[in-house]
Amino acid sequence: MWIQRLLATFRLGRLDRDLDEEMRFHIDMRAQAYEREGLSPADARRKALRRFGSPLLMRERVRDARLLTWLESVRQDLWLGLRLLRRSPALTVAAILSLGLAIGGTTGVFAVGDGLLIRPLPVQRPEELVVPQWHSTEWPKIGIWGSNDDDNNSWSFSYAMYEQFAKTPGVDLAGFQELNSAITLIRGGAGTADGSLVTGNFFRVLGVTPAVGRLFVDGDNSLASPPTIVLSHRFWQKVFGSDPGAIGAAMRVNGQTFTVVGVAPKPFFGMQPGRWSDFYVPACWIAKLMPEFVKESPLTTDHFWWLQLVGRPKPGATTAALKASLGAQFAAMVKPLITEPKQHATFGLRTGDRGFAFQNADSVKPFTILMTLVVLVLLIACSNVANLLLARGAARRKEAAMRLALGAGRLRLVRQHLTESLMLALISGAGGFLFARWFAAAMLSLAPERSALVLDLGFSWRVLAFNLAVAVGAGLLVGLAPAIALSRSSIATALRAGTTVRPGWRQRLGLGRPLVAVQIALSLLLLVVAGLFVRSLGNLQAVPLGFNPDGIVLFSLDPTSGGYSDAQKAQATERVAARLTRLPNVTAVTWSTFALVDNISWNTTVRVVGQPAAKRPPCNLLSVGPGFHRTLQVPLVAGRTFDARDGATAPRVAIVNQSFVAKYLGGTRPLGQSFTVELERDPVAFEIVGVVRDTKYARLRRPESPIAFLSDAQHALPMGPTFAMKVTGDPGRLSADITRVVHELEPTLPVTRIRTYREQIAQQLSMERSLSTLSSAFGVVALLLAAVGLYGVVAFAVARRTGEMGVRLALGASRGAVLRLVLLDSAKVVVPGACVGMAAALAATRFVESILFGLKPTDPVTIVASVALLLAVAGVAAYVPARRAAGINPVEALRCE
Amino acid sequence: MPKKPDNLQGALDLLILKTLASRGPLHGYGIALHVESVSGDVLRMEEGSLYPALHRMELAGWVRSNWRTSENNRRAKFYGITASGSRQLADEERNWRLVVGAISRVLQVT
Repeated sequence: MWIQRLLATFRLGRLDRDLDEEMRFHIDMRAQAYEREGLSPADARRKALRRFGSPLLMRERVRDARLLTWLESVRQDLWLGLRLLRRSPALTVAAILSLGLAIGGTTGVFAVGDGLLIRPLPVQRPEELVVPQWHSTEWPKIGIWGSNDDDNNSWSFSYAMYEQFAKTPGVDLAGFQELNSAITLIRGGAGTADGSLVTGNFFRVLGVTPAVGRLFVDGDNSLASPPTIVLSHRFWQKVFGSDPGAIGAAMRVNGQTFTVVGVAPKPFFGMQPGRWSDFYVPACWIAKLMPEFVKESPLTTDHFWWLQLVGRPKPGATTAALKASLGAQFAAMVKPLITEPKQHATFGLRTGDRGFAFQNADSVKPFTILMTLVVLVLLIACSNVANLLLARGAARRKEAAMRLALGAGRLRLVRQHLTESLMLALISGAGGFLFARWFAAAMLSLAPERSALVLDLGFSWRVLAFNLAVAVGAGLLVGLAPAIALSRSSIATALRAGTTVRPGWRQRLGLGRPLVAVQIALSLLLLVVAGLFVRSLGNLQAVPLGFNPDGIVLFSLDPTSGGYSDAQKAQATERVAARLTRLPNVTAVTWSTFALVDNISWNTTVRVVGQPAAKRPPCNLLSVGPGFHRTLQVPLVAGRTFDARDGATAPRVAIVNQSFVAKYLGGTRPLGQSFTVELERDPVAFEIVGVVRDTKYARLRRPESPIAFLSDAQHALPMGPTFAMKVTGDPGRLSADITRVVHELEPTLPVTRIRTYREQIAQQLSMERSLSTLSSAFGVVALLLAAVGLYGVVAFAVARRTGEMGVRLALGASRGAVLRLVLLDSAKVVVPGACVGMAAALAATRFVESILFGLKPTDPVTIVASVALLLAVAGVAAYVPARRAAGINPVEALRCE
Repeated sequence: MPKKPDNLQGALDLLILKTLASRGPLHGYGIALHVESVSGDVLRMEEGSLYPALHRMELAGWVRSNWRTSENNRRAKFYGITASGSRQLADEERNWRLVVGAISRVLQVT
């Protein structure tokens, strides 16, 4: 109806033509009449026209009539809706609050998902961008820095390959790689920042224009040019306080000095949504910034693939042609690198409109789960509000019946109901939109600092459109029940029912009870899922680590990136350790290249001396300082741990864990045996001098696996160290001391990531914690909403049956019997709902199985606990009105009747 | 339904509805002609107002229209009264009589 009117309003052209014809007909007829009276045709026509008046004016008035009538009816509906909402403020507030929270929650989850997975890059014509990738199940013998996914796709290429590709005529190609935790020195202050290496044409290819100064030009990407750096807008604000004087300033990154030439535009974050590059430096400086690669220049070697590419086809070039041309070059360049028959690599292009958002694929599943859960909450809220509106609709049934009897169209009444619920939903949606921003920020903040996502949660049309769509959907859903009730109602029964105490209860209970059952079912489903996540998190937190993290403070230094040689690094490490040991409350200090259970791993293959050469099982490695196992309380099973004997020039020794002994030494006596590790070109042999109990390695979720501990002085990765200090008392107070000590000894080395071991382990569980926190919150909200719904239905039934209860009591029924009656009645809603919810839970929780740890989706404890909680809450919700029923005074109840 | 402060417009609606009720579907010119002849030319319809009124009433659902061939074989838009229009007519007629009765009583008193 609205739509017809709307169309009529905009189809004014046709309307005018029709009107003209109508008017012409009228004037012609009138003129003919005058002619019959004897006037000349010309005079008759003139007179008819005069009589008719101004056609223009008439046309205007018809238009006005059409438009005004339409506006008027909309206005009326809105006005009536508002009046009804204002008439019952408690209901309105309850409805807006629950719908608003649910819509806002849904929008908030969407906003984060949008930022991570959907939103296009803030660059010119992002839809044109392509990202080269390659696929292989048996990779060529190359070193790869960058990302690859579970499907064996990688986006990293060698620099030589990039240079070759870039000559292709049909495309503008730029390179990009993240430089995490670079050490920066700005105006004398040391810190860390996440930067990116980019080719000189990077900003030009993407079509990004500077906020201040200039961005890179092709010439910047040359070791012959002065080193330049571009800051992100965010970093410029944070570190330079938006000072335009930052242009021209010097900034040291990993020991290399760069001159700031410009600031990237505000929304530009880099290539991967959720990660923010603080600064950009030309890719050619990689060797200076990452000294560990100096042995083989990353710019010339074809064995080290590290640059991720993004391209924009030139006008006229098709993606297919581009793929063919680049693919042929790729095949030719990869051929010499294939050393074994099984190895291969096939080239592909993927769309790059969202940058490297595909690297966020890990987030897809948690987001799908969260979205599903929050939509369930929304459905519960909708059915709750529908129930509230039904209850009020019942009170208004007489009015509706009267209007129907007086000839108002049924459609018109339905429209009125829908207008009302849509208004309610849109008001809730507007509130929800504000809540969504807060909620999205809260979601992001659930992730601990290091895995934090940085998203611009500013205004987005997509989020607004989503919010609006959800609100409209919720409005229609909410309006559905009263509309159905209305379409079912017959005028006669409604009018008749209007004479009894509670009009129209049949309609209300007809839909109200199933709605509550649906709420019960959905909230049980939510409770089971939340329960599974909570238990899973609990299992992860309780998983035995194999060491004791209590009372241990960790912090990291990165002397290698700070320009230290291996020998300088070793000396600095020992100096810092020795000084820290003298701090009060510190009982032991040790270090390792990186910490256990920190998502960092160093894997290689080992060969036990005396075993067949072909047998090269995988093994985890970790270089540790003296006292490492003692400080972490890893029990020694045999032999000894490292000490001052195991210096750089001493015979190379190793400590292995029990898994290593069991899997690779086949029960032979471990001490005195040797194994070799392919650390560089030649295998290096280590003699086993000790065996320790198993510990977790990089991740809590992985089972214990073979680990070989090497002496840090004898062999270490070009990174770290991470210190571990055993302290007594409050570990949190130490951070100032640590920073001061390190600063005194090594002024150019920033201290990073001061944390307790417990905090670091918690960081690893951030996804699990977010899921269990949010799903529990959703579960609680769902349960409360369902309880309110149940309470409403039972209270209503009790009120309706006051007379009946009075009769029963008067006839001698005990109060207990009345109580039972009411409770049994509510059980008829709760039990079927719970059964359906249980079936749904059993069917649906299989989808979260891969995220769970240490339990099945059919975990009986979770299911029993969820059902018990649901029944307890439902019991309370039903008990309150039941008690009121039992407390009815029979005399008064009968008098009312 | 919207209140119409304009009394004349109310009268116009009433005349149109009554005409359509008694004569069946008619085009605008026919309505004008009928009102003139029945009222003995006392009520001369302002023709420019007739069509806006018809369109307004159509939107209100009181009349419906369709294009048909007229008695002299020309295409013309015919208007017919609807059920809701009949109820409206009854309402307005009652109102009108009430007002007229009241006014004449007032006139008799003075």
